[in-house]
Amino acid sequence: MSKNVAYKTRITLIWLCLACVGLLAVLSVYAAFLGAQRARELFTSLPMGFYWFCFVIVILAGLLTFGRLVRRPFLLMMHLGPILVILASIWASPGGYLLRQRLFKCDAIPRGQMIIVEGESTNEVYGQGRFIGHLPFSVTLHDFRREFYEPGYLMVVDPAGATARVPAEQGREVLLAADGSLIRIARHLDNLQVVQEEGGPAVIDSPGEGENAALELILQSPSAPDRRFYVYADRTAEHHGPLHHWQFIYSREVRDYFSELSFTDAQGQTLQTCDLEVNHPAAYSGYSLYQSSWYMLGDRPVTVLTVVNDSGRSVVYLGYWLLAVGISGHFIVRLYRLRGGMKNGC
Amino acid sequence: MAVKYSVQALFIYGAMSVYLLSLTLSLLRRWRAGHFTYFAGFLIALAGYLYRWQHVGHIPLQNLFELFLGLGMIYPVSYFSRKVLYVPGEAVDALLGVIILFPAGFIFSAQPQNLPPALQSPLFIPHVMVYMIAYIFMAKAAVQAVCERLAPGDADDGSIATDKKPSFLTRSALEYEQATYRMIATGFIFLTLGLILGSWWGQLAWADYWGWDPKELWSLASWLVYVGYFHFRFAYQQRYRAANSFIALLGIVVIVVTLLWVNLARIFVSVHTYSN
Repeated sequence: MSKNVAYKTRITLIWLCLACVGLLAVLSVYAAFLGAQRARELFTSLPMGFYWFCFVIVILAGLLTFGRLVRRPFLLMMHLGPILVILASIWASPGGYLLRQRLFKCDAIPRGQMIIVEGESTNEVYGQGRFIGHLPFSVTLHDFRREFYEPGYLMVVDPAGATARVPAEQGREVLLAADGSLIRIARHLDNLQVVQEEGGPAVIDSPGEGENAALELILQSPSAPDRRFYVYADRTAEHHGPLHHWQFIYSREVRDYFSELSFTDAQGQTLQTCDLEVNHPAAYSGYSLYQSSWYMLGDRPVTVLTVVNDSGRSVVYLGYWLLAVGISGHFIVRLYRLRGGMKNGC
Repeated sequence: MAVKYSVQALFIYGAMSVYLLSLTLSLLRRWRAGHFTYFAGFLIALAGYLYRWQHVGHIPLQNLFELFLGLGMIYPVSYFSRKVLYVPGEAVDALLGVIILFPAGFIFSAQPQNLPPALQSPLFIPHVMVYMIAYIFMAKAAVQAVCERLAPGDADDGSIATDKKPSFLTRSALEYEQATYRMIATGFIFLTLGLILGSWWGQLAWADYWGWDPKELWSLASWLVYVGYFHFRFAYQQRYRAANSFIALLGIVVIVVTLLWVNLARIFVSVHTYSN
């Protein structure tokens, strides 16, 4: 092959690469306007599958054509990295899953959600509101805990919709009207309970188990005796105090939440226990479980876990490592050499 | 847009004023005084950042106000660029500092926020930090690219053609082009690390290493622009300097969109909207 042909081949290949990169950049910008769900559908569609395949071919052709991409380890790593990431992502995509199902009779659940009420166990996985399948093990939610930022805040909404917000701290006051009526926070209760005492029912902050956070508020008015009432935290209904059409809302921001789980096999034998929280998933039997969300079902907390099949992820991470090390190493070496050249006045 | 009356704002306005003084001194060719004033501006910006850290109780990287507060401490990147990469330009960096601190001082809300559970990750700090460093390098690269466009080309004998040369440009177009490359090469390392750390964190927090979120897609687009830059420059070297500079400028435009528009525009529904 003459030098001219070799040069033209190389330039053509670089332009092919630029076309792939440019198209992906344009599609990324376009997909950003579609939202995550539609963007996912776009990038995992069949035409895009062809595109990803072409992208990999172009990179491989580059490795074959440009000898130094293979001879220099950092250059090789930074080009192998994207190939691994793309191939592993195709493998883990819905299309890749269907292909695996047909070719290898794979019956693993690729991704879904588990909804578990505290004290109960399940192995059912749901996706987009419908049942997907059973996991080969059961998950039991022994305990669900939440931690809150202290203090929360009390929000007072007047009949016109104007809002006042104060930290939920003892002694804090909110002026209600020009006549001097105000609301004062008398105390915070972690676990409000009503008990019968000699003088009648009384509100206490019970030290026992249970959680019923509330604020004790006092309505002070110049023309009427003080009135005491309570607003409960984290209830979906807003609390209407003794003032008609006024709303009193006690909110707390969640700092973190935890699910205390155990995994049991088909015979009911407990094989592993773990505490799950956001950013700290648990891995078991080829699946990873992530703390996704929670809600209250009456007085019982319900945890929502995301279950993901781990297949292909380690290859993605390997691709990331190659990309990071390759790019860092290549440019550090290159800048070091350029620096040497500049020092010597070249 | 409003003037803020708080201790925090005092630090921001102080740093902006001292940066402007540094720029003025540099324009008057008082280089040494300009450098020391620039460093003083950095110290004030650093003090403001530490004050914010103490005030909110966690490293201030959560919202755009805190991000721009951090980006205003541009001095370490300037120093590294000058000493290691041989890319001067502290006067322009001081101006960049003023431009970056302006939204923190006048536009973005300084209301402290608690960290939601997803942000309580060991990857939070490195992910945001490397992106901040990358963005500063890329902004400096864009400045070099503009200088390349304004500067005269090299004459045939290798000397710098001085006719029509703006007085504030001290080097040739070729040198500015090379400086652009060095800044982008350095910034690209951080940009790549930011993308990968974000993906890893996404896997831990949202069970997905790539969620096709608008912010992720814009970040990918900015990364791809620089991938295109390296490949184009590898193919043609400095033959098409204008095209090299154009891609560098396109990169910073996409970064600005990624950093600001995606967070501020309501058309993008993103898991990154907590940073509003």
